[in-house]
Amino acid sequence: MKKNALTIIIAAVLLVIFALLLFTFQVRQSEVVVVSTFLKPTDTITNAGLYVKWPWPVQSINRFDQRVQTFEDKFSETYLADQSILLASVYVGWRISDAKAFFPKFPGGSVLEAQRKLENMLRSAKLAVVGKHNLSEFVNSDPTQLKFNEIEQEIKSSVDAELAKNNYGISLEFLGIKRIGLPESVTQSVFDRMKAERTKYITEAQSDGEAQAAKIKSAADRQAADLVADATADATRIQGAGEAEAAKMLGVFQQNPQLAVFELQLDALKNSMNQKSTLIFDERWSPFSLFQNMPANGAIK
Amino acid sequence: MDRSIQKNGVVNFTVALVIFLAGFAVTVFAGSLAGQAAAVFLGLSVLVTFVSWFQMRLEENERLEKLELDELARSRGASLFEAKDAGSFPARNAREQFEKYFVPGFAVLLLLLEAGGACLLWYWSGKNPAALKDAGATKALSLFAIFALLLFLFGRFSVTMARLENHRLLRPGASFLLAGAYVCAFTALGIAGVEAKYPDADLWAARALCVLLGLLAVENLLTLLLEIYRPRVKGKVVRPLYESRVAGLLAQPESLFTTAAQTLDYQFGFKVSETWFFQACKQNLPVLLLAQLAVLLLSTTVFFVDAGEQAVLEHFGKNAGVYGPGAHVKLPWPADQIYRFRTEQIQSFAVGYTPDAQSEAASLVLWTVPHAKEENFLVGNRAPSTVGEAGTNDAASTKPVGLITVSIPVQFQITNIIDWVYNNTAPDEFLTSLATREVVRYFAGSDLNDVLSHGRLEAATALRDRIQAAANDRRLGAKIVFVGLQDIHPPTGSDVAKTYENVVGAGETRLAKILEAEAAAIRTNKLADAQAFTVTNVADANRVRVVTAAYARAALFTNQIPAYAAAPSVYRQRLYLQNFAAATKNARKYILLVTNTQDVIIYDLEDKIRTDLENLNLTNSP
Amino acid sequence: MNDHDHPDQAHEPETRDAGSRALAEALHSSFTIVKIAMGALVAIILAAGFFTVKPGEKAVVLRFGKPRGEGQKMLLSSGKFYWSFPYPIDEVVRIPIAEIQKVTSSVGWYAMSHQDEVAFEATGAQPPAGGNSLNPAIDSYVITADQNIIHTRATVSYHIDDPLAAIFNFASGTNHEFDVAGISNAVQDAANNALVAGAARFNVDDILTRDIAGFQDGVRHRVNDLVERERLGVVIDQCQVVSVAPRQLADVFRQVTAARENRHKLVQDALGDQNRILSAAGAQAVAITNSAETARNRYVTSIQSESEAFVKLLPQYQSNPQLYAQLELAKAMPQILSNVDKDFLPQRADGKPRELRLMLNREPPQNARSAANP
Repeated sequence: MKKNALTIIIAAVLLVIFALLLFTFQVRQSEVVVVSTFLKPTDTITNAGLYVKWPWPVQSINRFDQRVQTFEDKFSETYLADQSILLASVYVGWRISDAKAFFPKFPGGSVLEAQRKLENMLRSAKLAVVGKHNLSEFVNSDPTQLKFNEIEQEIKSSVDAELAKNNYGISLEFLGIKRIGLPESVTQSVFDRMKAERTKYITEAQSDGEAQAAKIKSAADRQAADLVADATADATRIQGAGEAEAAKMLGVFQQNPQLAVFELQLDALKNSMNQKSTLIFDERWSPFSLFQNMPANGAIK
Repeated sequence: MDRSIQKNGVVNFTVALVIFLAGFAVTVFAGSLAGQAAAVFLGLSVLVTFVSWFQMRLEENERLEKLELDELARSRGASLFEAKDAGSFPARNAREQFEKYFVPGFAVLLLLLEAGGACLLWYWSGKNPAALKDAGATKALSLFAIFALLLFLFGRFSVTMARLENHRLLRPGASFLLAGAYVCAFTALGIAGVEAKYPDADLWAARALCVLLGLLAVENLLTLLLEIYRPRVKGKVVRPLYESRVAGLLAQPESLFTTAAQTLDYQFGFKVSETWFFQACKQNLPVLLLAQLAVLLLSTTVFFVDAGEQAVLEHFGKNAGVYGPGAHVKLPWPADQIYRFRTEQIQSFAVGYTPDAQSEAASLVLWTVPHAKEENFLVGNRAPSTVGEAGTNDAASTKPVGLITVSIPVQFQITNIIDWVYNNTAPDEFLTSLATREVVRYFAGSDLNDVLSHGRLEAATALRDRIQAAANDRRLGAKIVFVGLQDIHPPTGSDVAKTYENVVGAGETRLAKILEAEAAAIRTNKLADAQAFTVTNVADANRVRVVTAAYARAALFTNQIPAYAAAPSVYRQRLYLQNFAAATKNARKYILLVTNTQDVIIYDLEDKIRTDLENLNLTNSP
Repeated sequence: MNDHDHPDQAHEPETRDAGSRALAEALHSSFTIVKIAMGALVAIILAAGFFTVKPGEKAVVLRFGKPRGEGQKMLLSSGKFYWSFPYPIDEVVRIPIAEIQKVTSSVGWYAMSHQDEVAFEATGAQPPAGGNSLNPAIDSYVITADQNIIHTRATVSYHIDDPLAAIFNFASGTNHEFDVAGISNAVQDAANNALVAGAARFNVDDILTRDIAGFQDGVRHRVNDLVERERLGVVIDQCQVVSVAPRQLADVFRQVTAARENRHKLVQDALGDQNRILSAAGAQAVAITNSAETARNRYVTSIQSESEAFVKLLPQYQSNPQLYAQLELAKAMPQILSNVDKDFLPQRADGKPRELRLMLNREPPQNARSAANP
């Protein structure tokens, strides 16, 4: 009998577990469950916990992940309003906001399918909005002309409107521009322009430096020349002052100009003849006049 | 009795052999595929009949030996009962050895032949399905029919014999022969089918026979395996391993139940066939079958429609209503039939491009790299044309057009299912064509630059409205949910797209050239500025120098006047002599104080030898 | 068709009994095995309730799908033993979370292999450029406010503040699994957007040299804004931004810096020259005035001394001018003639005049240069 009781208890436990499996289901955190009665969606449950249902095939459940999915569209090339070309891609965070509406719209409630359709809408909206603006509204140092945030907002509202209009059951939590770029051939031309700009700065710096240096030097030269000129003038003036002083004393010489002149001539002779002079004279000049009429000597001839 | 059995066995063997050879010849002559399968089957039956005949002989020998021994024992007395040893029963030993070793080996050989034959024939028939030659078809047909008849005769006789006489060794060969008869008949049917303008009939017949062979092989394998587990009950006689129940079934289809019963009994070792369950099934089989059929039919009265779908109910072909998701009841098939359609589900198609898996997976979409097969659309171009003849009438001049490629995915839902299903034969393709037409019309009427840049939003809205209007016109019952202008650009081929990019590049190059010029201007200006400054300064310095020098000289002169006035002649002489001395100090002076000469002075003004040659230091360096 | 049995009726009841007996025994033993298995299963389930958390991981217990605990307490860290009910009552979700998470932006930088990364982190060395353009499929970049192209990257460090938001609210395609991929992607997206938007506001010189801190601040502000606006449930600790000029233009950017430094140097040199010139001129001026002064002094003194000498000599001269003159001349002659080449030409015996031919040469030109080096 004991064995029987044990068997019965175990059987009962198994039965309870089996019943639980059939009649209850869990909704995990961040999941949303659509309960369908005879395949018709009837209930949506978003809060986590344990719930009761009728077993299959009366009621069946479909689970969906209701977390925000981060997703981005393709990096695609488009024409701007000012006839330039831009590559752009946006990222979004989207989530299933209304599982009951979402579920029938995509085969098997497949998130992948939904993402594909979302990518189409994202890309179209992005290209449409981007095509309305100029490149200077994407990048600009003037904050009043920069429309970066407004463009993001426009794209988001456009996609939001589409999603709401047809009740896709999806909502966008956030949208932002992920990346912008230029076509490859254009980057090459941009590099050339950047190089020219840098070269201009280099030239500017170089010639500025040279010009300033030249100016400084010439100002200095000028100043120096002025200084020297002034000094020379001063020197001349000093000389004049000396002359003026000497004038007082020169009157003395006027007592006998001949003597004065004689002395001066003598001095001049001494000074000028002490190098590179050749004197050719004959015996007429004193003191060599003494050589005149010397007794003839055989040796001298 | 036994001899007649043996004779029967021989007869079976001979018949099988003859018909096998004949059948083989006919097959080769007529080229029938089914005939090849039949030939294999006949070959197997040859082998089986031969082995069973041999086994019959062995048993016959054993029986004879036993009779002899019994007689001997009777005549000799009790002493023989103690001398029983294995060696004194050669015939029995032979039979036992035969049954222990040869029969399983033969069964394995049969297995291999069956399996190999099935595979090879399947493969061959796949390679040349229409091998039947027209010329001999009729002859082959008749010959196979004759074979079937002969085999049927002999087989039927043998089978009945085996059943009546309860001889287990006759049964395999007999059932193979009889089955062979049906196989030949089947082959003949195949050939007849080909004659009756169903060229695949031969192939299908051959394939069916291959399946049969395969079935035989499987059954053989199972028998071999199960033989290991079968309980060996003492006294039960072992049935020959190479006997095929399938062949037996084929030979006598009416004995299905009995065969099943026999199998179960044989396998489990006790009479399953006499349990109440089995008997009940056997008796009530027709009823059970009918009940099964009824349940099947009843299950079609309830149908489920999935979420996002709708089902159209047709009552004897006439539309009888639309049902949404959930469970519903209807009359069973074929009175009521339902057709499901995805209505709430968003379906899509593409206009202007054909999506393929590779381009879907790519994460970069460039104008210069082809992505997904794209088509070109004509679009107008409002930009004034510079190529025109002077004096042409404006109204008559042709405006240029452009070509663009577009990728337009369209998403739609079916809103009115009755319209969708009953108004047009192929609503999917029709909607695609409508959409394409609207797209073509729209682009032909718009401007290239608008559509490429800022006119996309309007284009998308306009297209959606237009496609919706066109669909409503034709009562398609569809709602256009979204029209996306995913990619609009000049065609990728012929470098048109590349040229568009080059325009932007050219803009950058222009800026670069301007910057270069600016750089040169800056340089020139700055340097000129500096040079101007320098020149001005130099001039100024000169001016200042001259002026100050002049002023100073004037001041000097003013001061010199009183000095001169104080001693006029002395001052002058002094000045003169001092300057004379200073000036001539370094000059070469020749002072001529001679009075007794006539002077002739020769000036040699030639240039002197270079002073650096005069200044050479010639050293003797080692 | 009873063709199996040999007529041996006595065995039949035995076999049937044997068969059913065998069957009954087999069933009985199977049941025993099943009972033992169930008992073992219960024991295993109870024992499996214990679990630990590895370091570098955090665990969350979901009771009937709902996470237990609030806020930071929801995350169970390593070092302790925990117990939970078995599935389906409790579910333990392990999530690899480090204390500080780090994510690097994925746009704005050119493609680098792992070794290049390591080298760049260590020394700042950049691999050579592939070509003269940037292929959008391989390399990435941002566009600055003055439509220049640069490479930039941001490394954002953050920690999870609200796990309920960060882990359970964000995913990245991993359906029904919990990990940090979703929140990490969201932060990375925010970092990317901040880089692109930041670069759109700043000029290239500001980003690269003049206002590096300003750019980094701008990026950081935007990342914080986005994190708050999107309610990611994380807190940004640090945001570091590195920007470089495109490798194809690295040289010319360097040359700009060099040229600007060179200009500074030129001006400094010129100022130095100016000082030198002015001081030289000043010295020269002083020298000129000084020498003039000295000359004047000398002149005045010489005049004075001459006049004094003259006064003294005057009476001598006045007494006998001729004698005085001859005396003076005779005194002066030796001095005068000491350094003179003298050629004496006596008179011809017959008193006729000689013909004197003088050959006068040019002086050799003065060689300013020194003699050739030996």
